[in-house]
Amino acid sequence: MSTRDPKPQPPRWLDRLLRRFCAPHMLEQVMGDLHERFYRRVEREGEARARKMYWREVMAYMRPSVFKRKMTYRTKLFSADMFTNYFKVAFRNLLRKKIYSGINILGLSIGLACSFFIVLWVIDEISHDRFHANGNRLFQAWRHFTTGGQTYTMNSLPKGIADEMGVEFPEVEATVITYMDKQLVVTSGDNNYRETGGYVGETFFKMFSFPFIHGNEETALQGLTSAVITERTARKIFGDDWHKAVGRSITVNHSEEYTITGVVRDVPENSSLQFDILLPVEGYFALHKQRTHWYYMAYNVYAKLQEGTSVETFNKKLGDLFNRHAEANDHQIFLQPFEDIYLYSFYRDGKLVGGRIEYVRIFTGVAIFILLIACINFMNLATARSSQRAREIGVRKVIGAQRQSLVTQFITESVAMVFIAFLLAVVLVVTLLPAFNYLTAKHLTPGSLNGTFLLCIIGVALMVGIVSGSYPALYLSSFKPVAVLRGTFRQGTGIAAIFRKGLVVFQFALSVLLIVSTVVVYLQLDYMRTKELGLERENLLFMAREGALVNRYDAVAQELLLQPGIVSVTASGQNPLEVGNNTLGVEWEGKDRDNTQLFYIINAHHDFAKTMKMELVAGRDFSAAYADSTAYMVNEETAKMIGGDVVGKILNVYGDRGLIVGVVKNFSMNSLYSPIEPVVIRLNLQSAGNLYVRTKAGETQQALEGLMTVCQKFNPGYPFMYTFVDQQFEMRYRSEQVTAKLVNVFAVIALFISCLGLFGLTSFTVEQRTKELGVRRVLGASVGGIVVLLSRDFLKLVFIGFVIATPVTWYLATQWLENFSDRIKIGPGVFLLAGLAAVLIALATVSWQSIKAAVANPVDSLKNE
Amino acid sequence: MRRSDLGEFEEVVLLAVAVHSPEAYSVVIAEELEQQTGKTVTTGAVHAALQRLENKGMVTSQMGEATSERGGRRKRIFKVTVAGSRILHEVRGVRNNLWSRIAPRALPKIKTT
Repeated sequence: MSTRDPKPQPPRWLDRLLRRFCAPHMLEQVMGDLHERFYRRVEREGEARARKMYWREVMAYMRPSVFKRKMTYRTKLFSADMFTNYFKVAFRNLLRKKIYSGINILGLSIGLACSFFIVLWVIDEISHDRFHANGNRLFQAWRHFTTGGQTYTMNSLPKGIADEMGVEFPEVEATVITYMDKQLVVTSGDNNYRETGGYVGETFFKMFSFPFIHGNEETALQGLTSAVITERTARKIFGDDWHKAVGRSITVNHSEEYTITGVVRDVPENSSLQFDILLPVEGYFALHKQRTHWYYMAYNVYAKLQEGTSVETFNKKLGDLFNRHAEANDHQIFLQPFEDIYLYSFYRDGKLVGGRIEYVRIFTGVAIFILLIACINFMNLATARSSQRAREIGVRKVIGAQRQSLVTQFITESVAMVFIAFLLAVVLVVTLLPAFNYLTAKHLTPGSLNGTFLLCIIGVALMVGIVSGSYPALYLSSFKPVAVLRGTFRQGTGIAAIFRKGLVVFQFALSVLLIVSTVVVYLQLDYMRTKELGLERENLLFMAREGALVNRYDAVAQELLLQPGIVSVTASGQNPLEVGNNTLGVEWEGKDRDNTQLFYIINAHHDFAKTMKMELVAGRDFSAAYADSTAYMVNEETAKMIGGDVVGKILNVYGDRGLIVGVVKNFSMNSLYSPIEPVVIRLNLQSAGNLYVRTKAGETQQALEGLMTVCQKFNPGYPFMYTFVDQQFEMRYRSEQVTAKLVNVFAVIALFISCLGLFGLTSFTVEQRTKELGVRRVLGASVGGIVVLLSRDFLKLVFIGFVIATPVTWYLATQWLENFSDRIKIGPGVFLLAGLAAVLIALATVSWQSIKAAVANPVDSLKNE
Repeated sequence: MRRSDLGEFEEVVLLAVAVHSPEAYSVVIAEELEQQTGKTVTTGAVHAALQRLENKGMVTSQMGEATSERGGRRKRIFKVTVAGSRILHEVRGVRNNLWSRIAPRALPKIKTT
C-alpha cells in the first residue's frame, strides 16, 4: 500500500473477527488471500459486490482447521526448567514482600485450619453408627401416632411389634427389642457399681457388631440370667482378673443374679447404642409379665431386613401392624435406616424434617465462607500488587512466554503459597485439637486424622490454591507487554478494580452475616437459658428411688428434711422439664366427645409444687396434711380445657377417680422447641421413680453431705449418685450451645481474615500513593484529611457489604428461629450493632496504615525520584 | 475413507494447482474454478481443500515472497507432489477407460456448447 488513495477497504469488523479467530500462523496468508481477492473483485465487479462477497469469503474460513493453534506452542508448558524457575521466582517474591506474604499465608492457614477442623467434625458426625457389619440392612422401627389433628412420631414401641414383625414378614431376617439406658447397680462380692445398660433380645449381637473378647456372640444372651459386660466394666469389677470374668456371677439391683457369659470391647463413642452391661430381655419379661402388653410402649425395636429389600415398599406392608393387633386405627409403624437416625431424627407432623444434619450443613457452609474469605484476600492482594509484577510479565512475554505458561506460573505460585499455608494449618490443627475437643465435647485425637481426612483436606487445599490462583493468573497474564514496558501501564482502574472492590464487599457481607448470626444464636440461647420455665431449676437435684427409697420413702424423706441445706423433698416419675408420658385417657364430666387431646402425665408425691417451686394459681399442693389417696393437680392449659373453677372437680385418669386439688402455673414441660400442652399431675408414689430434693441456695455442699449420709444409712448397697436438674437441662441443649460457641469463634476468625485482607490492600494503596500523599502534605493537607481520603473508599465497601448482608441474614435468622416455639424478636439493633462493629474494626485496620502514611515526613517520599 | 481418496472438489483443485504451477495459490485457483464452473468459489473453500491435500501428501507448499499487491502479505504457493501426480494420472486413467467403453448411444443426447 504505497499510496493513500481513498481506495475501497474491505469491511473492518470482518477483519477484526478473523484476526480474533484465525490461528496466528495462518493469519498472514489468509488475510492476504482475502484482501487480494477483494481488490480483484472491486476492479472487476465493483465495490458493492466485492463487499458483499467478502462476507461470504470470511465465513468460508470459519472452520476448525483455521482456528486451531499450532500444537508446538504448548509443548513447552510442562518443562521442568520452567517450573524450577517459577518456584524460584515465587520464593523470591515471598521473601521480598514479607508483609504481603505474611498476610496471605496467615489468612490462608487460619482459613484452612478452620475448614480442617470442620472437616474433622463432619467426618466424625457422619461416621456415627457406621461400623456395623450389615449396617445398610439395619433399621429402627418408629410409629406415627395421630390424635387431635396432630401427628407425633416416636420410637417407643411395645414388645409385640418386634415379635410380630419377625414372624409375619419374610423380608425380615431378624428383629431385636431393647430397653436401654437404665442405671443399674451391679454387685460382685461386697462391691457395688453403677453401670449404664439394659435389657436386649437374644439376637442383639447378631444384628449389631460389638466384637467379643470372651464368650460367644451367638449364645451370649441366651437364657434368662446371662449377662454381657464391656471390657471397661470387667476391669472395674474384676481388676486384673478381668480375663476370667466369664462364668462369674453378679447381682443386679440387689435382687436378681446373673452369670457373665461374655465380655465385649468398649462401645465406641460414635455409637448411638451405648452400654456397659446387657441383660436378656426375656429375663426382664419373666419378672414383669404385664409389660409385654400391646399398649406398654417402652421399648426400642430394630430390624434387619433381607438383602435387597426395598424399605419403601416394605413400609407400606408394615404400616398397620400395630392397628391390626391392638385394635387401633391411629398408629402407623415404619422403619428408618439405622445409620441415618443419628443425623436425621426430627419428625414434625409425621414428616422427617432433619436433625443433627442441620449442624453438619451449617458448619460446612461456615467452612466454605471462611475459605472464600481467605481466597479473596489472596486474589485481591495478588491483583492489587500486579503493577509490581507487570515488568516481569512484560519481559517474560517479550522473550516468548505464551499466555498459558504465565497462567501456569501464577497458579504454581498460588499453589506453592497454599502449600505453605497448608503445612501451617496442619500444625495449627494438631496443636489446637484439645481446645477444639473442649469446645465440641468430642474426643478427637491426632489418630482421628485418618486417610479420609487427609484426602479431604488435601482436596480442599488444592481447590483453594486453584480458585485463589485462577483469577490473578488470568488477570496478570493478560497484560500487554508493550504498554507495560513502555511505562504507560496504569493499574487500579477498569474491570479489575471493580472486581476487587466487589470481592471486598462480598467478604465483609459474609463477615457481617456471620457476626449477626452469632449474636442471634447467642441471644436466643441466652433467652432460653434464663427464661421463666414456670419452676426453679437451680438448686434442684434428683436421684433414682432404689432400695429403701422405694419401700421406706416416708422415713427417708423425714430424715432428709432434718438435714441442713435441704428445703423440701418430693418424688416424681418425670422430670417436669421433659415429661414424655402422655395419654388420651383423661376424663371429666362434660368432656367433649370429640376431644382427642393428649395429656401429659406426671406421677408425683407430696410437696411436689413446693419442691419444684411451681406457682399455684388455685388450690393447694399435694400434702401429707391431707388424707388424699387419689388426687390431681393440673396446669393452666388443662384447667382452661376443663373450664370454670376446676379445683374440687373430679378427674378420671386411667380409671382412677380423684379430686383436682390445685392448679399450677404453666411450666415448660416438654422442650423449648414445642409449645406448652395440658399436664395432669397425679398423686402416685408408686410410679414416682425419682427423689427430688430442693436445696437452699448457697448451701448445696451441706445439702449434698446430708443427702449422702442419709442415703448411705438407708441404702448402703447403692453407690451415691445424683443429678442437678439445671445441669441436665443444659446438657439437653448442648448441641445448640456448641453451635453457638463454634459459630462465635468462626465469626471472629472470618472478620479477622477479612481485616487482614483489608490491611494488605490499604498498605498497597498507601505504598502506591506515597508520592501523591507527599505532594498533598507539602501543599498543606492535614493529617486528618489524608486519613479520611484513604479510609473513605474502603469504608464505603464495608458499608455496602453490610447493606447486602442484612436482608440475607435476616432471612436466615428468621428461618432458624422458626425452630423454637418461644423465640426472641430480631430488631434492627442487632444489625446496627454488627454493622457498626464491622465498620469500626475495618476503620481501625485501615487507619493503622493511613495514619502511618499521613504522619510520615513528605521529604522522605519526595526526595528520591 | 482412505488417505489417498480424492474428493471431486479436491480433484479439480489439484488440477488447478497443476495448471497454475509454479505460481499456484488459493486466489488464482479460486478464480480459475469460478471461471470454469460459473459458480462462486471462496478462497476459504479452496484453502480447506488445499490443507486436506497437503495432509494427504498430494501437494507441498511454501511461503512466497512478499509483494506489494496484497499489503505486503506473503502468499502460500502450492506444488503438486509425486503422489499427487500419480493419483491424478490414476483418476484420469479410470475415467478415460470408462469413457472409451461407453457404447455410442448409451448416453442420452445433449447439446454441447
